Amino acid sequence: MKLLRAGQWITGLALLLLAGVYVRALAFTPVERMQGLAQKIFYLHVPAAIWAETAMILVGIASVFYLFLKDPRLDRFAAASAEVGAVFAVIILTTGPIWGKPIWGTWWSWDARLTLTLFLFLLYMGYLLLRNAVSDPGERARFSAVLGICGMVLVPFIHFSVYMFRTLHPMPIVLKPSSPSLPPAMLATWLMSLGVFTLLYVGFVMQRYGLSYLREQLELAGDGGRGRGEG
Amino acid sequence: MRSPELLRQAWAVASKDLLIEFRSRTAIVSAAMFVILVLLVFTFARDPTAVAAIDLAPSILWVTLTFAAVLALNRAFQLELENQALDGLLLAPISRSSIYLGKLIANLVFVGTVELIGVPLLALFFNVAVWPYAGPLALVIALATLGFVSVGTLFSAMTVRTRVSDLLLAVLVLPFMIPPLMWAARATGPLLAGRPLSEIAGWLKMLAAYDIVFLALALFLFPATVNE
Amino acid sequence: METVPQNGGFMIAAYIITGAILLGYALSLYLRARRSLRP
Repeated sequence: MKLLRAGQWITGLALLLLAGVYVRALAFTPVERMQGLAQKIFYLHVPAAIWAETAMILVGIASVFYLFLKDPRLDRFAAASAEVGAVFAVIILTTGPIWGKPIWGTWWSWDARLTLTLFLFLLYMGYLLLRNAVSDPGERARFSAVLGICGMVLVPFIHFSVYMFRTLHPMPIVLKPSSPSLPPAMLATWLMSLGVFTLLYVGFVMQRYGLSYLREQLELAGDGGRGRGEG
Repeated sequence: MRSPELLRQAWAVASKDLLIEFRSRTAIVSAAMFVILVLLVFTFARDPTAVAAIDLAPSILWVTLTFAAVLALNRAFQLELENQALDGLLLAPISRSSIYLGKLIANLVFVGTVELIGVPLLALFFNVAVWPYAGPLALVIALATLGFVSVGTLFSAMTVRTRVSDLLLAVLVLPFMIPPLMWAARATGPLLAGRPLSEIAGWLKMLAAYDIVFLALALFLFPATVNE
Repeated sequence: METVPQNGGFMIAAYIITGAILLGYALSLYLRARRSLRP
């Protein structure tokens, strides 16, 4: 399975580069004066957040196309993207409160972005649970496509409703339409981290896709009883 | 297909379900008892000296209605499990959309009945004046119910044949119920406190938008949830 | 000049947890692949 092997290589490379980002972020990036060292959590938190949200959009798009084209590759990709997105959502939900405690003075606040991420995580978990609960491959693919599309449509509604309340969360500072207000050294570290997270996403999705493919081959060969949950 | 045809077929499916419901009455009586018991749980789990009933009433109302709706939603497609009745329904010369609409109507009638029992009881147990605001409150409840029942009916068609269907449906549908629930609860608060209707117009618009989007989406997606 | 807040512990915790989650998931994928490929 070439894709699986390639995914393993990419993931290995990305993990090595992640170590590089750790070294650069912790030792060679200036400390922000207002927030202190805790500001450095941002280099992990924001790239993970970008990919967790992008993964949801990709799940939705793959789901829409699946319903029209019925191509099993789209279904495998959606499953892979959802699982990786859930992992990244866990990273946001753990690093977020760790940053919030020293900066806001509270572990959790019902702030707009936190709430949105929590919902994202719940949607991913529901999606993965539904996949696990349905055994027929065709049915599983159609059901999860339906749920994926509904999830993608729900996100803007949550977005709207949570932004109706005042938010404590810092507004996006990197992707501001005007020039980024981050000092160049910090921006460079952040961009490196974003690159590494992108690589991690790609590597993880390729491996997970390969696993789904292997599982389907095994099911076709009549060996469906061994292990579950790779759907 | 012409729309009167669609509605006529949908009504045929809905009246079939409602007739079954009316003949046995187990589900509706159980649901009504469930609502009463949840209200009792709230009564006894509340410290009456700490929080005023009027402050808590919107939360209690919406928590009760949400859980009652989640439990009720399982019913629609469970009816069809016996003797492969769903296959019969799918073979009938009616469109898939009308099956969905029929199930939706039956669910709405069912949940609506439960709400008709629950709201007066809330007023009674918690001594909240509901009657003066009955019209606007009914509008809020109707809009929110339509929103989450349309999503829930769609999902229950998918979860019904899984092993842990009731639990899985709750896990899938609750994230979708929370936004309309939140808007409805925020609208109910000022309403019961006697504020003018214009104050809650924003929430009502959000609810209406949610209803339109998810009803249209569910009609479009439902065919994918049943056998081809 | 104002003092910089002393909160390095939080930073270290966040970096360790993120690393652990990513490594753990990578390991889980690797083990699942090995199990599936074994005849």
